[in-house]
Amino acid sequence: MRYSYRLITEYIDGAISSNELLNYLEILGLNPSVVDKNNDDIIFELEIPANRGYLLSLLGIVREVVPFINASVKIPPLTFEETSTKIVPVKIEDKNDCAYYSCRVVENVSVEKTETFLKNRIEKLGYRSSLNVVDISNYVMAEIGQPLHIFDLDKVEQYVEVRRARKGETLVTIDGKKRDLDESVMVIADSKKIIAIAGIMGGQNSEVTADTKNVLIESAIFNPVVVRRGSKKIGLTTEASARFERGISIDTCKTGMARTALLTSNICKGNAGPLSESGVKEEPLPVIKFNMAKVNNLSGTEIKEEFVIDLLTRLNFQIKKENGTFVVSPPSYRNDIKEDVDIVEEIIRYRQYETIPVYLPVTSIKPTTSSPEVEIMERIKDICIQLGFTEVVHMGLTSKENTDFSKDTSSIEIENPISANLQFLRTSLIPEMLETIKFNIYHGTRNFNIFEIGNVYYREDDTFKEEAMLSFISINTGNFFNLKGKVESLFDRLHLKNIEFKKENGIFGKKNNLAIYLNGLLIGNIFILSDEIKEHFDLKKCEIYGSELKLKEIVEKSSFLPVFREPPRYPPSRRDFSFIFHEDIEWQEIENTILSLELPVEKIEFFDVYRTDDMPENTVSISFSVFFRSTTETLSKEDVIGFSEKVIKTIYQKLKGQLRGSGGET
Amino acid sequence: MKLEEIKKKIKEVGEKAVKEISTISEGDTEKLERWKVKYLGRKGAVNDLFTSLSLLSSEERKEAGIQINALKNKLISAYEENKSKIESKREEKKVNLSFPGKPPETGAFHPITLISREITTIFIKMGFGVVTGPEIETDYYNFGALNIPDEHPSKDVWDTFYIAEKEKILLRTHTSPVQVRIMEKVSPPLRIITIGKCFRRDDIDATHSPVFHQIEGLMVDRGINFSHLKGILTHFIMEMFGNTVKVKFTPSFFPFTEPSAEVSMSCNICKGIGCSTCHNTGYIEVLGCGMVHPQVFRNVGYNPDEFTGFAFGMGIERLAIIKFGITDIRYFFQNDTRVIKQFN
Repeated sequence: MRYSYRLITEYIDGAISSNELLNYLEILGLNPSVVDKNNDDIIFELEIPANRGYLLSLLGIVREVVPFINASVKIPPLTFEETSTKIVPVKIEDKNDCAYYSCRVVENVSVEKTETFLKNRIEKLGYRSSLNVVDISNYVMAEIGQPLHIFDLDKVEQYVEVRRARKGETLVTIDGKKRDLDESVMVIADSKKIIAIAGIMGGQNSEVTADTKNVLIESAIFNPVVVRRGSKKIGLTTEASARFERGISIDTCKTGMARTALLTSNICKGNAGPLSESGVKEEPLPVIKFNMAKVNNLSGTEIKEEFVIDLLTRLNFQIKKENGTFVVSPPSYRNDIKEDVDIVEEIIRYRQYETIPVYLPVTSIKPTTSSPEVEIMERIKDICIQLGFTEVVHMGLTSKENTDFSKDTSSIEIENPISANLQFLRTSLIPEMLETIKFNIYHGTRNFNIFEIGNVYYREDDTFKEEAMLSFISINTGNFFNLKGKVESLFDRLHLKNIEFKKENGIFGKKNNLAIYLNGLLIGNIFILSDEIKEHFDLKKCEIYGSELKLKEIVEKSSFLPVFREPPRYPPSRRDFSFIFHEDIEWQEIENTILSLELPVEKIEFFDVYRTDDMPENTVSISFSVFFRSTTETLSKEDVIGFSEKVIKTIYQKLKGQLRGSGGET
Repeated sequence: MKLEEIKKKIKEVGEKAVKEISTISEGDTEKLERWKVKYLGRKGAVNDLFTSLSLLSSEERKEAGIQINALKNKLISAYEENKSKIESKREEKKVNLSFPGKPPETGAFHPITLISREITTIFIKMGFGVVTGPEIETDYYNFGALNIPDEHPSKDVWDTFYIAEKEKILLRTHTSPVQVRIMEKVSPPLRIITIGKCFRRDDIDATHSPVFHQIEGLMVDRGINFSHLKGILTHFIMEMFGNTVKVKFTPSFFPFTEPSAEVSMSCNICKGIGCSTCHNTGYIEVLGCGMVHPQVFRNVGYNPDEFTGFAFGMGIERLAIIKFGITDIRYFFQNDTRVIKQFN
C-alpha cells in the first residue's frame, strides 16, 4: 500500500514534520521511498517485513512512530447508533479455519459515487475510487488494517456460513473471473450459494452495485495458512489476503467493524443493525518475561531501565515488574512479539542500531578448523591456473538435451522450472562449457583453455546425489597430448600415484577416449571431442580436447607433503631408440616391457612417432630415449651397450618391434 | 661380413671423416653440422658400423665395438674442437628487439573465486573455519530448522526450485542450511563461514539470476552480542572496501535472527553523494545479519540461555559488482574469457 504524510498526521495528537516522519521510518528499517511529493502532501511506500502485518495500516505506522515524539495516537471515532434491528445469523463450520466472524446489516444506504473528501483519501492510498460503500471498506482496511467485505444484503439468503468449498463448486469473483474451487479453499456461503472466497475476494452474485439498498458488512479473522493455500490454489493474491496471511487480531477485527459501520451510517446515511458474531470473542495476550541483564547482554550496551519502560509504554505494552523481572504483554496487534529477543530488538530499534558500540569479541584465539577438502580444492584451482586454464562457472541448470549426453546417469528434473533451458540439473560440466566455447568463439576468442569445478547431479535409486567434478577443455591450443600432459602434470603435482589411462568408450570422445583410473577406480575420462558433438554445438572447425574428473577420489588421495629424495650422485646415460611397430601398439606396453627387464632405468621418454611411405603397411616408427642411471656407480659404456642390446632384443621378441636405429650420449 | 672387412671399413670411415673436417673453413657452422649428421647422426656412418656388428660373433663384436667407439670418440672430439674454434671467432649477432613480446599462455580465476578468496582470507584471519554443505537440500534444513514458518509470507522471499516437492526436496535457496548442519555436529564455541551456490526461482535480468553464490558466516560463544556483530562485520567491510567507507546498520527481518539487521556501506561509486547504483541514497546494501534466533539454537540442541551468536549472509556476485563495478549479473555466468581475464 501507499502511505500519505497528511493522512498519518491526522491520527497523531501532536506535531511531526514529513522529514521527521521519513527519518524515523528509516531508522526503524522500513526504507521509505517517496513516490509523489507536492506542496500539500508526501506519498511514500515502505518495505514492510513479513512479520509486521500491523504496519499495513495508517494506524500501525502512527503507533510505530509516536514513541519518537512526545505525542499520542488519535484513535478515530468508533461509536454510532444502532437504528435497525435486522440481523443475519452466522455459522462457522470449523473454528480452526475461522476463529471469529462478525457481520452487521446497514439498511437504507444510498450507494453512489464517492464524494471528494473520501475520494481524495482513497486515491492517495493508491486505490481507484468507486462506489462509496466500496471505498469505505478499502479506506478502513488502510486505516485500521482490517480487511472487510461488504455484501448486497438483498442478494444474501437467510444466513452466512464460513465453510470449505466442495470439489466442483465454482464462483465468479468480482473481477469477473470464474474460479474453480475445492476443499482447500475457504468460502462464505448463504443458504443457497457461495458468495465470497473467504479473505481473498467477494463474488459477483452478492456484489454491491449502484442499485444496492441494504448492505451486510463482514469483519472476520480467517486462518492465515488456509487463506494462503486458497490464494495459491486459485492464483489470486489481494490486499485482503496479504493481511490475513500475516495475521489479524481480534481487536483490529472489532475496530474495523465498528469503524466501517460508523462510516457507512454517516456517509451512506444508512441504519446500522446489531452485531451478529460467532467464534472466539477475546484472545488472551501473551506474557513474556525478561530482565535488563538480557537486554544489555544481547545488545552489548548499557540501556537504561527507564528507557525500556517508557518505550514499551508508548508502544502500548502492559508492563509489570516482579523481583527484577519484567512481565510484559504486547498489544494484541503485535503478533511479531513472541519472546524476549523480540523485545530486545524492539528496544534497540528505538534506541537506534547506530548507537550500539562497535566491539570485536574477546574470545579464545583457538580457530575453528576448515574442512580439509576446501583447502585442497583451492590448491587444485591454483594448479589449473598455472597450467594455463581460465576458470569458468556455470549455473548447473540446463536443458534436457544437454543432460541426454550422459545416458549412464538418470538426470534430475526441476518440478517448477522457470524455462525449458534451465529445467534439468547438469549431469556433466562439459555441455555448458561447450556453450561457453561457442559464445567465446563467436566473440572472437579462438584459442583458449578453460576449466570448471562444480557439482553434477543425478538420481540413484530413490536418492538424489551431487558430486564435485573438475573438467578441462582446450580449444585450438596444441594437440591432444598437450592436454594429456597438463592433466598428467596435475596428477603429478597432487602426488597421485597409480594413475592409469585405458582405452575405453566415452560419451564425449566417441572414437578417441581414454578412461582414467586411480588405484583401479574409474575417476574420469580424457577425450578428443567427437565430430558429432562438435557439430551439435556448432564447433565443427575447432580442435577440442577435454577431460572430466571426479574430485572426491582425487581430493582424498592428494597430498601436498613433498617427500625428500636424495638427488642421484652418478651421471645418467641416455640411449635413443627407433622401432617400427604395428600402429595399434600401446605406449604403455613398450614402457612396461622395458621396465620388466629390471635394468637401472631412471625414466623412459617418448619423443616421436611418425610414418613414411617406405615403411610396411599399418606400421609406425616410434622413437624414445631411455635414461640409465645407477644409484651406486657410474655406468660404463659397456654396461650401457649391454642394457641397450637387452632392450632391443626384448622389444623384438615381445612386441615385434623392428629396430630402425639407436644411439645416444653417455 | 667378416671382422676384417669391418675393421677396414672403420679405418676408411675414420680417414674420410678426418679429411673432410679438415677442409671445412673456420666459421662455416652449416657445413660442420652437416658433417656431424653424416658421421655421428642417428643414421650416420658410425651408427651404420654399430648396426653391422650384429653380423659378428660376440668375441668379434667386442673387438670391433671397441674400435668403433674409439672412432666415435675421435670424431666427437674433432667436432668439438672445430666448433669451439668457430664459436670463439663468431661475432655476436644483433637482434631487432623492438618486436612485441609473446604473451605466455596463462590462466585466470573467475571473479567469483577471487571475491570468495578475499572474503575467506579476512575471516580466516579472525579464526573462522571454512565448511561446506550440499546444494540439494531438504525443506527442514532450508526452512524449518531456520525458524522459517511453513505457509507464511516470510517464506515468500525464497522462491524455491523443487526437485521433489512431495518429499520436500529442493535446491537450497541460501547457504544458511550449512549453519544448521554444522551446529548439529559441532558443539559451541564455533566460528565458521561457508560459500556456495544457491538457487531461487528468479527470472534473469541485470540484477537477478536463478543461480548465484552466497557466503554465510556464524559465530557462537558465551557472551556474543550485537556490538560484536557490528564489530566483526564493520572490520570485514573495511578490509574489503577500504577503511574510509561508512558502515550503517538498520533493522531488518529474518526468521532465523532476532534482532536482525541490514548492513549498508557508503556507495563506493559516488562516494556517498548519490548515484544510480545507490538509488541516490548514498548507501548500498551489502549484507543481512542478526543475532541467531533462540529457536534455531533449540532446533540444533544448543542452549540459548548459555550461548548466543550471530550470523550473516551476503551475495558474492553482489559484492563483486560493488567491488569491480560490474554492470550486469549475467556476466558472471556468460564466461566471456575477455571479461574473466580483466580481474586477474
